[in-house]
Amino acid sequence: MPDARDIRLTAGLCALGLALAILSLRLGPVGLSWGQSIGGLFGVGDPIDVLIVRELRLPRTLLAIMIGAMLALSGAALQGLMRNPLAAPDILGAPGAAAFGAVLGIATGLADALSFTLPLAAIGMALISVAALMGLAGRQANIVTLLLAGLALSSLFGALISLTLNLAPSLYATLEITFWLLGSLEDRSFRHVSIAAPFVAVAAWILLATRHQLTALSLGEDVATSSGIDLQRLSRMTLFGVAAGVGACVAVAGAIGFVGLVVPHLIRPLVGHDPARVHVPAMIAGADLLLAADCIVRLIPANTELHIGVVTSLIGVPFFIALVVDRRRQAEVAA
Amino acid sequence: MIELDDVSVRLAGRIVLDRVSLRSSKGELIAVIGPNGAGKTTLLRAIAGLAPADGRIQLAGQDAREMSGTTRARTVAYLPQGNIADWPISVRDVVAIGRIPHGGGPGREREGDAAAVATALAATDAVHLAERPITELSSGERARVMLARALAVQATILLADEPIAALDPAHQLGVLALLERTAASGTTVLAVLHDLTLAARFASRIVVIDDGRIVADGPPQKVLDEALLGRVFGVRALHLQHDGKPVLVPWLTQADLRR
Repeated sequence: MPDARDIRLTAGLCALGLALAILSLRLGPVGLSWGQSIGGLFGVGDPIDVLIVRELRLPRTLLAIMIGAMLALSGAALQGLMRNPLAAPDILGAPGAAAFGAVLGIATGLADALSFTLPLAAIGMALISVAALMGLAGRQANIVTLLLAGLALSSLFGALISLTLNLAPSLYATLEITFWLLGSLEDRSFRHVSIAAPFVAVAAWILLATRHQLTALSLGEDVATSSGIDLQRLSRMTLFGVAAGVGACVAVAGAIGFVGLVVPHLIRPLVGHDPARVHVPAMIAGADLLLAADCIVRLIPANTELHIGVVTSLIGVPFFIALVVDRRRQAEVAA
Repeated sequence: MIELDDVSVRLAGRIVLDRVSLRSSKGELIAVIGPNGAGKTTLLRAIAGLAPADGRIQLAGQDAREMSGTTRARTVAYLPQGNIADWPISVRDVVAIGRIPHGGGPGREREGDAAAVATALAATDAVHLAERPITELSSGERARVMLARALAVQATILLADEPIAALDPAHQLGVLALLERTAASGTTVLAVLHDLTLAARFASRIVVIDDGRIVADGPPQKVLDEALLGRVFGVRALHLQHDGKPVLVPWLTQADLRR
């Protein structure tokens, strides 16, 4: 039986997510009331309202839920596997790698933004990146080694993206890729949802199915193995899950940073720090965070809509700094 | 019950365990002693399936090669050195990790899990620590909690690698008395120890390993003689008797004697 505290937390986050999802259906150039939004969702009311809600705002809302959940789940899984609170996909360069895969696909004409080839290119490159990271740093890498390896890979894929932009055939293509890289859920359709959903579903299933093995791993590899856990299989499954999930998300929405780092951290103390119990509430909290960020970008008055990747980074960087300060304080106390 | 026949372990091209054969009966408490780097930990790791071993290993009557990971995990509980804990998980949850081989674990208790965790906490004098984060405990408290995790497995074989290394004298005696009781209840216990007197006091049998081989095996009174201590450990010890058990205090090294 799941812990009662976990059930309460999950239920609370679901309720918050529901409210944010309905708010997300309301927000846009055409203002809709709560009743019009909910009515539109169920096909009731003015046909124009129904069209706006179902065809424009619903896919965007679904993508926010799906991508937020997937990024947070990936962070929780990687942190559990690497036994390290800094092991989020973005710190490790996976989204950068996926973005490079997608950009390369678009620039070479092998994939367009509405084809299934795009997530495959993004997933393939994310897989290469995560495998390279594990190879470089090792599974039990200390924080410094991990960050250095992640920095090296992020820089490499950043440079490769710049190179691709540099060699882009036209200024229009350069601008298109640059805006796409900022991360956005604007103007997304059900086509985007259907491109990402199968990969995200498989990735989420893999990461959720293996989560209980991470608890034993928190006492070291010997305890995990002697508890009957196949660590090599766990590593492979986690890496594939993270690469598939993050790759699919980046393919449809660009690079949205820091969700995978921030959310598991916020959830961990609420579930007794057990790495297996972080996953489910982190998924829902990740969806909540991205829904909230996507509402914020539509509420802030500006000539052009802010990109959601910019907002999550603006939230995430101070959090990351706070994490560094906290760890420094802990180190000083220990000394 | 453990049966080893010609078990060897080679790590990075070096033979760390060399054709070791050993038979243990149900309910024995065996102390594994030997100098640093002799192969004691490797012996335990080979039995637990953590080191790649040649030869034949039988655990509770089954060939280890034919056991699934879960079956082996239910049969053998392993308490490693180091007492690693990466996250500030509560002590109760750490002990509940011992129930993972049975399909349980923190936050998903099955029938019998709560009782196994409670018994293990009580046996290791750790009930009052149950709600505290593992990372905030002293090294001695942490060692007892990790032993509780191994006991919660309720395996037929318990392998403990230096279980009293971080403990004060009272808790050293307490933990070894607990291992003695665990053995008396039918579990085969193999414990790597460095304290020769405590090994002699509590173990029913002592296995001495040197340079990857078993060089002596038997009751403490027979095994722990002056010649063996000189040959294997390079020490001369004060040899006393108390309550019919040998009391050994290493006093001089061979180098001291040569001076």
